[in-house]
Amino acid sequence: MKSTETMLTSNIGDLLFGDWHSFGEKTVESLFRYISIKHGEGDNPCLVRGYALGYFSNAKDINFANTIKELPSQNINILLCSTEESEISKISCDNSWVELNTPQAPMSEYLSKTSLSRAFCNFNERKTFIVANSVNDEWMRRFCSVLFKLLPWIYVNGKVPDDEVEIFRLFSQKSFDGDRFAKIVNEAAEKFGVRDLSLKKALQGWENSITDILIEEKRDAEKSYLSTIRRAEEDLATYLNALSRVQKQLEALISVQRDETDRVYQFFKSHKQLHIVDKRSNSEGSVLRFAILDTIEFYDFDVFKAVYDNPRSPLGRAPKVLRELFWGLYGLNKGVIKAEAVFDLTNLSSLLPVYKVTSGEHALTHIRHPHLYHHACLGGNKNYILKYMKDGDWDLAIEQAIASVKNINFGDSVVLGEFVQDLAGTLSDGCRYIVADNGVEMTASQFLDYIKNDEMEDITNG
Amino acid sequence: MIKVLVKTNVIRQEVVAEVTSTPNSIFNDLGISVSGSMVNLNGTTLCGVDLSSSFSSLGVDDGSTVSLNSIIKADGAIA
Repeated sequence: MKSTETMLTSNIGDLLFGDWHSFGEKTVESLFRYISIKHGEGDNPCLVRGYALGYFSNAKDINFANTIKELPSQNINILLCSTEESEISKISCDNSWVELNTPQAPMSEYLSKTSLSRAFCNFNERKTFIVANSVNDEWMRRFCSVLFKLLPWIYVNGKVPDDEVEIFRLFSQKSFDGDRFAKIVNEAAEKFGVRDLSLKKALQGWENSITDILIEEKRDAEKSYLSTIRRAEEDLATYLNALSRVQKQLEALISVQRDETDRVYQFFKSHKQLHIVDKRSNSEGSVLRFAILDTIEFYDFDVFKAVYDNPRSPLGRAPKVLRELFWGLYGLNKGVIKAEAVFDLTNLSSLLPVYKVTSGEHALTHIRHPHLYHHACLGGNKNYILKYMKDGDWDLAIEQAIASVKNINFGDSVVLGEFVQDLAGTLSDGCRYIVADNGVEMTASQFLDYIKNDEMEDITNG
Repeated sequence: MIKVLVKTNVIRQEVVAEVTSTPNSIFNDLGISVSGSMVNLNGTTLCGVDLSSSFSSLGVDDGSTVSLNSIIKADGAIA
């Protein structure tokens, strides 16, 4: 049988029926699809589909019920397999299947004229099962010519509508007229609207799937852009904060350039105890080093008295002359000590005492401040200075630094030991670091003479 | 009249005062207690008597600007 191409097996037909070609035969598939469009309904008219099960060596392996359960598609309704002639007669089936070999429709007998065959039908399942010894071209033409008898749920009682009679007859003629077959099929296809239905089925689904894909793509893009925007907004907020900080710093710096410089000058000019040591720039910025020269006046008398009376304290162990000096200063308050401490003011934002450094210009008039020179220790003043600097109150910070110079804590035994040693070193030198209560600046020995004379006068005066 | 820049650890205020007024009167008017603090006028420490002295007697000229500071006396070492 010549393989005949029709509209129903072309690409358009495949779009509507799928690319399933029963038994690998285009003519047979065309006939199946012709029957489908003649008797089917709706957008999915596929009614007839064939499936070749292959060769079985034993009849007992051919099981109709199991085969139906395992079929790849519900639309398959003509099953074809082959086996040995001797096995064909052994085929059995349950009651739901009927062999199509009645006097009205002796299909097993008719098909066997070419090759021994048996045809069974399950009307409820709408399946026809055919076993043939050999399926060749002639057997297939014979099969096609009686197909209406093999599909009794479509052609009830084997009745064929008048307009379909011719197509079945073409298969029983000695020479199969492929052109006529194609013409009949194509006319039926056109009448059924196969082209429109194919386009509708293919493009509607395609459009929907494309739309779904595009929607998914756009959603992904939307998420991506929103995420990018969020990150950008976070970055923008960070940059705006940084910009704000920089602008405030810039504003402060501009303000310092125009105003603070003069204020610093005025401040140092008005504070006689402040002496510039030098001004320089380093990696931390602009540093103003200055010395605070002031008198030590603030101390706790009770603490002083306790360490004075304690024989194990640095002051208690000190030589008599030193103890007299301390007593005159802090017991009798006959004078005060002038001390020096050096500080670094950096960028008007940091103020720190400088460890073991003096200006070098006041060694004959001031002693080194025991807390600040030996330990750069601000004690309780430190927190105030830090707070003032943080608030931009550099002037109050310097005032607090001056307060730290005016203070001595006799409770710090380490510092007291160094203080005693420092004063011991002044007993024989000419450093006039004591301001007596008469306003005269004196050396340590002069001050000792002064307090002794004062005592004598007190005794003389009664 | 003088301009007094009053600075403490809690306040920073500019006050216009008579040269005959005293540091104490300034602090009183502002409600500032200076007990236990080191008070200085342009960096010069003021003792108890100075606080009750007029600005003019403390060497402040009429029309000038001065700083009046009250600084906390903290220990030189932390126990």
